[in-house]
Amino acid sequence: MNESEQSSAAQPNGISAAEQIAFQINLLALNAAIEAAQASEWSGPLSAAADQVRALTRGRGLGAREAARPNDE
Amino acid sequence: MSSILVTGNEQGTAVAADARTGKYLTFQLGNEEFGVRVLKVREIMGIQEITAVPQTPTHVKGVINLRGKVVPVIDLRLKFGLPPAEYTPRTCIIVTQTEGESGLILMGVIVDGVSEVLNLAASDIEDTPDFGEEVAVQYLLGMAKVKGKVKILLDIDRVLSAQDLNHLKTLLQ
Repeated sequence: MNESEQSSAAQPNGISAAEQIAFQINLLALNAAIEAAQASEWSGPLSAAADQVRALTRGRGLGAREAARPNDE
Repeated sequence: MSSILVTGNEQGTAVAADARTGKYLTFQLGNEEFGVRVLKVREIMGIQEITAVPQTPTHVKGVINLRGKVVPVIDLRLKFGLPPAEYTPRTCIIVTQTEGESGLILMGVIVDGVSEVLNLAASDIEDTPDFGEEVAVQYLLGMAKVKGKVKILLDIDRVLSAQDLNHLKTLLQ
């Protein structure tokens, strides 16, 4: 109980665990997008995957921020 | 595959707009948004431990171990004369590949945060305005107009002067 409260609360460095995960996924999506762009300007599957992960990040990032809000107050 | 040949080695900033179209990685530095060509980017990573190297300019933060490769890292804020900022969990290192005299040079660039990969058409890009003779704009590819805002497109090969590159090369040998 205590542990989970600590992990979901804002960390001392000002970023919650959920936001940290969202950040990591975002980096993953950007790296995939970069890789896709370098493979070819028109590469299909990889850039599609990058878009999908990115869409996921947007939802995840929003969720992370909303989840973090009650803890801030 | 039919591709438009790009002659990217013209001097000055008068590069044809067509040569500048394509995908850009955008990032934040201070209050501004910048962009670099995706083809110049090797990868993006979160901030990590940097080994400081003595006797280097202040904007050279040191070296990192990139999967067994020693890669120099510069702080773009310091390079551009912006006030230094503390690194946050959102601070990123963009590992770029720069053309050097003796092949490809990998270089880490510390930025405040990365944003997205944008596809820019010729109509989105405008030439760098003339700021007068004293302002060095050689490292600017142009200005991108995106959603009512301006993003500054950097020619990462020129952000590091030849002097810097030589310095980094001796560091790595």
